Amino acid sequence: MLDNSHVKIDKQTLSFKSFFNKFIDENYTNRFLQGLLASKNIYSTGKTLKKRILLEIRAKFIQEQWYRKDLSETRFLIFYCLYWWNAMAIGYLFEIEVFRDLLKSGIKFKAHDLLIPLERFSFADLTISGLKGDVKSSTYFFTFIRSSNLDHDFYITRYFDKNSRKYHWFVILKSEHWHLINGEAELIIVPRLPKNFIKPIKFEFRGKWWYAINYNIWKNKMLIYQKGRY
Amino acid sequence: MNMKTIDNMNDQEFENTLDQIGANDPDMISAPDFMDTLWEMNSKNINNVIELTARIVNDHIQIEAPDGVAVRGNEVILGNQRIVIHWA
Repeated sequence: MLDNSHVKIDKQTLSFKSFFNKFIDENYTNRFLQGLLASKNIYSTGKTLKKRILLEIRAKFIQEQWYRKDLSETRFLIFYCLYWWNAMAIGYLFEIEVFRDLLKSGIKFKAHDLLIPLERFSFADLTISGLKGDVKSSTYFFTFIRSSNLDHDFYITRYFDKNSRKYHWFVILKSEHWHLINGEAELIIVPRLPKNFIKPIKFEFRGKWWYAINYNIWKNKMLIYQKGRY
Repeated sequence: MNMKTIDNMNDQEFENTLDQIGANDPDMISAPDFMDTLWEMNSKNINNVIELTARIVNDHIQIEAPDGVAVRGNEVILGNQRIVIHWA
């Protein structure tokens, strides 16, 4: 909503989005990604580094007077930038976690290079056996699909189980993709509550069938497919 | 709940709000919400609703269904699908 709000800085008028790209993303994101990529334990490194960079961004806002307590309008800009940078950092953290897991599992894939901005914003986060995929750190994106599209062949995502306090990874994939790795489709009824998507869930979106399946099951089927056993 | 917007918080409340960003990484939507979205998407294509009534008679499930729906005890046949309902 705030993307198109404007800020006047050095006689230049910028949208919040442009301001974020120019002053925040360009200056902080690569350092965060380099830190993550160099770390063995990306989760703990990522958490610490993210917190540190958020504090740095806040300090920069004070130093440059982009945020002034006597000017309440400036609250929107600092909130917007911190919120989006944090959300972006969470996304990259999950993305790298996924890439490392796929690599460890022996899946052949090509991931975009996060350190090259043009690649970082490319359409697909990764390509596996010609299928284009996107990594989403939360199923939040799913609430908006009614006003947008599912343009990728598959989405690797996760949900947080409040009872077990754990994330469960799963994959949303086009039915062509599912048939490719699973053979004939089986009869599936949409259940009210998932059980880690061990049993695939089939659903229709804009006239096309999609499946939601447990990440490890998908990965194993993908591995078998890549080894040519299908 | 009385939620304050960014512009009507006092300075301390706003600073606390900024502190919260990055303090936790709560997932923005829980699985049941995701499933609700799926359920809604599937439901919108449905143009015929069949209502069944279940009763426990002598420890067995008895289902009553409208005409045209084949029912026997705890089993319902719909098209080429047989639905068996168990009492948990």
